[in-house]
Amino acid sequence: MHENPFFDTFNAKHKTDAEIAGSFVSPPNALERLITKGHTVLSGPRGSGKTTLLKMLTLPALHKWSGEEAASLKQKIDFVSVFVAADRSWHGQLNGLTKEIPDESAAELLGMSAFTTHIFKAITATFIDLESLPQAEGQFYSGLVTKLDSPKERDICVHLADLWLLKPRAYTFAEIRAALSQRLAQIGILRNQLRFSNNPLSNEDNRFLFVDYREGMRSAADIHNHISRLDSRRWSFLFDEMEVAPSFVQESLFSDLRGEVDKLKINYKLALAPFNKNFRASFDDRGASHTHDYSHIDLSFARKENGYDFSRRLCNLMLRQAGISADVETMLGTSYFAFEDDDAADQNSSTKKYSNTKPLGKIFQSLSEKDASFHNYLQQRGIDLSNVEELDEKSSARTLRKVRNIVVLREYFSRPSKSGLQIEQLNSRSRKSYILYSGNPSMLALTEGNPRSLINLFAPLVAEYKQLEGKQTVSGARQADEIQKAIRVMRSLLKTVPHRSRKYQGRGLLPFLDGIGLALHRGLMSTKFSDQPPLSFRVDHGVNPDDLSAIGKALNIGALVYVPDQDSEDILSNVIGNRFRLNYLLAAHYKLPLSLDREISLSTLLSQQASYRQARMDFSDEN
Amino acid sequence: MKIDVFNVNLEDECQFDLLIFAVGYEARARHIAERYRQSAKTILGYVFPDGHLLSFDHNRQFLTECGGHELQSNVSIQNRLQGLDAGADFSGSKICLDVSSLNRGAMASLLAELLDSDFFKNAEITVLYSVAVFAPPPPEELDFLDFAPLDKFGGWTSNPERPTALILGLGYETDHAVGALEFLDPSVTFAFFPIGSDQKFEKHVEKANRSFFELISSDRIIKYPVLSPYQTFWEMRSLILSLRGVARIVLVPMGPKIFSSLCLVSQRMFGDEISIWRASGHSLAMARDAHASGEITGYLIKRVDQ
Repeated sequence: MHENPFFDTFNAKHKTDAEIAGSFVSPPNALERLITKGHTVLSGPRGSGKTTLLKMLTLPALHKWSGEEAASLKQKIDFVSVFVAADRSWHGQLNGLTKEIPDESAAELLGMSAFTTHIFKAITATFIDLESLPQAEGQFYSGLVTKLDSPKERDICVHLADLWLLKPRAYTFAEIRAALSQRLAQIGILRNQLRFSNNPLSNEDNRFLFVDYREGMRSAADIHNHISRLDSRRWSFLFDEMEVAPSFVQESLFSDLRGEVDKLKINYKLALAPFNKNFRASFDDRGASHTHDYSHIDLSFARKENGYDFSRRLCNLMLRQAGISADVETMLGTSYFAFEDDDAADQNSSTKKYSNTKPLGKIFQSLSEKDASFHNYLQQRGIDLSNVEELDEKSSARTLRKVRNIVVLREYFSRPSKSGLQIEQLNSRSRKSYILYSGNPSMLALTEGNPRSLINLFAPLVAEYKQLEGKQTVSGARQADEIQKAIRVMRSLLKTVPHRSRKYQGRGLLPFLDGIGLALHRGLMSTKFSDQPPLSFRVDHGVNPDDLSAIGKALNIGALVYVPDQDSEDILSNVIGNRFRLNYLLAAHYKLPLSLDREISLSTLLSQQASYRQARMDFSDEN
Repeated sequence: MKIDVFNVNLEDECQFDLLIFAVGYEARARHIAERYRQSAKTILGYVFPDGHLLSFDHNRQFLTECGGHELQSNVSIQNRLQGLDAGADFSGSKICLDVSSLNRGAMASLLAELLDSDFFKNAEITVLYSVAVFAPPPPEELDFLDFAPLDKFGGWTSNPERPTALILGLGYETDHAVGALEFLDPSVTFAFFPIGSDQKFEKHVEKANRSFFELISSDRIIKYPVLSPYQTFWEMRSLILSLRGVARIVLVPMGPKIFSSLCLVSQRMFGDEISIWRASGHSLAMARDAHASGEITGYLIKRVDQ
């Protein structure tokens, strides 16, 4: 594909091979796992880099890739890939067939034939791409590509035309592709005819409608292999954005994972959103276990530490591309929050930073003075903030570190009052609130390891940093501006995704998520001090079906993040019994710490919210 | 069949064989019909199956008074006209379609028949629009419901592998543009921003699309004068011509109805590779009356059939 100045930078679908390769950073182990033999399902919410990863499996993109891992990974490539693009507007047309055509089976036949033709076009485009690669000798693909002379190209095209029932104007790849475009147009004409007449499909000229995509793919690969004298060459078919495909396409491809295709020669790499109600059904019908049929790569990072390295590398690449040699830590400065969820990570931390002459110590002291429940909490653990140097280093450091983020938030968003601790209203949300979430690694956590979020959040900051010529960090206020913008955009989007419940009619997913956020916020701020407030929830059987459906949608947008238990299922087809947390951008909106902490059942959480009264804490309460 | 679009001079005397307007709940629905009732041989009032509230009864009464006939939503124009006169012949006829109070579904249905049916071959269709007096949008936020290809204008692509180019018309429905952008996930987006005589409308459009403007660069915003649809058509035509070789174009008309009509006409002009999507968040619970400001604008479509 040629570069086009019109196209926006964040969408990988239109990017050239060089653009894909030039800005590629692999999520942890993702590319390495993706190139292993066998079928793979790649899941992640919008913007998580699924398209980029799939496109990186094509030989032209790999050829252009010169990153640090490139050389060793390229040597492991022992297959040729066909990228099958997809998007919502096209799938909207396919889905529309069932509404436009009264005969459901005819609509499905046309839809499947259109999808089959699209796969054949992708195969032909790949054949053309292989011819455009530089001479294979000495390249990593030397065992995968041989140059075809004209008679060989003609030979392949004759076979393809026979197999796919085409009548190209000439036997070249380009003409085969043109004939496939014509076929798609012909399917459009049949769609129009079907609206008005009963059965134009039985016409002999329309036999192509019954060509099976599996057979068409397998035989095309065989023919090309045979004529290229590479009989054992493997092929990967990369199906992008399967979540928006019509159900009949999804079900067919999912069932192929169970062995409808020759796994030794043809592998599928399917990109999916995290929640798909059709996925499990395709396996359960056959009573089979999924673990042997495909491997799964999850591109969401339930535990933020797993995404840091990826986000950091991506951000540093953005800085390099802007001509800046400094790294993201230097650009952003340090976070207010500590981020060691693992106790072991902070064993060597000193208690000194909590002394009342240090900034952090002052925050602890301030909260202890205005929040009796926190004061009691410290007393019960024998911690005297005026004398932290005398404390037992290891256990006290652990306790103080454990509560640090909660203390920072409670202190920041509260003021003392006669009757208790007055919590700042959640709706009083100034830019100042978000300064708390600025700095590194908070800002990295807010991106969730999602490249699109990262580019949207960081691109203006990188531009600002470049203007500052790297002489000072980008201010917390400026970072807060971008956090606020990103939150505004996400909340706008959530308003536009319908929630089926009458309760929320007209207001989309947002009020449902606001209910969750508000309840978590109250659990953190408006009760006695707790070192383990609930910050994630588990969906129980008491949750109503409309809310279950809303959770699936929120997952696919990335507003909620699935927190898998050990041995839990990969692609979710049912949210009941599973644990989730809010996306950290939303967590910042609800003034929550960026961590998982304790879980609570969703029914309990929502019922607490319903019965909540504007809380003021009682200083006299014992902890 | 070929269609051409021309400017119209509303100062000129107009004579129509057929005038179609909406019998809906807005008072402005009859404004154009009131002005042109004497110039039209036949008048049809498109009656919505629901929403019989606010100014609906007045509009229906006006239809009767001016000797017009009801056109029910499930009946084609041809059938209705032949029901009135079995020998009716509207080839080469002059037709006026008032789109001011038509919803997008009704507009699509009527325009599809006027542009596609042999009954109206070589017809000249004047599309008119009556600007409403500004009223702020309802305070309730509306769901971005039922976002899907518009019936009869959904298109059909032969190049699904091409990236999507989204062309949006902006209105004051809060965040619907963001919804469209995020749903379709296009590779490139352009937005037409309406400029009317009343600056209050412009400010509301600005406010309702604040998040959307965070997502696209300002050079992708095309400001268009609501009162110059012919000029807007040419801007849209140029944009479509520059994009169609490299992308699949999806038009999402929001905002003034005259812009929606231009999107539909462009789809017919450029064919199935252009797809129109409908973002419908409307609910009758939110229905409010709209009064004509007195400003009327429009353009002319000429069908050239073999």
